Amino acid sequence: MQFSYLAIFILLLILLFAFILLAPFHLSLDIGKKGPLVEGSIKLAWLGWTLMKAEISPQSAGDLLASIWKEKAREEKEEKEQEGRGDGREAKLEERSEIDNPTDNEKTGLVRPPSIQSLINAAPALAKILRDMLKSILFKTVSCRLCFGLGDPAQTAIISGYLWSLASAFGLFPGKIFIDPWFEGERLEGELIAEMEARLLWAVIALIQALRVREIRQLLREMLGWA
Amino acid sequence: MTMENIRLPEMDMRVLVSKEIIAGDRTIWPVMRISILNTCEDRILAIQITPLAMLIIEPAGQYAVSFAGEPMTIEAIIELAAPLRDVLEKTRGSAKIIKVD
Repeated sequence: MQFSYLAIFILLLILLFAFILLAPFHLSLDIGKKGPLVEGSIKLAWLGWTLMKAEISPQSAGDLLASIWKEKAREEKEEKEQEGRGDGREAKLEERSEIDNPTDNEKTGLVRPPSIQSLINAAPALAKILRDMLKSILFKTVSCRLCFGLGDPAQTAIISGYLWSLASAFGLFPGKIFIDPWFEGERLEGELIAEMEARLLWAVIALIQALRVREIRQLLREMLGWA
Repeated sequence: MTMENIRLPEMDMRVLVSKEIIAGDRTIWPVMRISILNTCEDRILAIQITPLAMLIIEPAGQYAVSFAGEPMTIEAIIELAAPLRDVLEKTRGSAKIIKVD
């Protein structure tokens, strides 16, 4: 009797894992810049549940950058204040800096940069993993419109040519990419709308296949400090 | 597909003044023709940049040079690229101010 309960539990667990791996994640991206205003939204959903939603309210690009700089300045100020609170907290700060800037892998348990040789050896396998991972992403809609001008018509025309060459790479996807060169001065406007779907199954398979490759295992060992 | 739906690629040609090049006391304003070949789906198929002429402004005076090898007058280059009229007016204006001083 106990054995049958255990079997049902394991079966349910397998079904749950299969369900998680097969149910697709949906990512919606809508970002635009019109005139000086930047606005947009990012949404990540799974089975109709919204896992993450972020919205950029209409604000000028200058304001957006100013808010980012303000946030950074506030963080720096807080750090300086903490430094000035006597020797009692120095030990804690040292501990914090060790976590932020790991130097000793055995102590922090964090990753360390691998050797160049290991990276070169693992490059073909890494490229294959990346390809397999990209295969698991299905671009449902991709629409990108960019209007730009660099102030110099010749430079604008040259960069426009480069961008159209890059856009041809996206011709593999059922996307719509438009790049309009603006020759009458400096300008940057555009919008990006993308809807994509990804299943964890293919990513997990790619990961398992990667772990079967000796070079990848060696790279991981070096990064974890086990080599 | 009916004949009405078929559109031929469109060619968009513009004569534009490029950013000035400053070489010592000399300022060079290149004039170019940018030809854009659009596909029927409004995508850019090709862009061609052809230099046509240049306006050279020196402290001693101004003159135009055509890349076709023919002599070119200031009036002819202004007719080719109208924004150069403002450039020349500004230059002549600043030259007058210098003379007054």
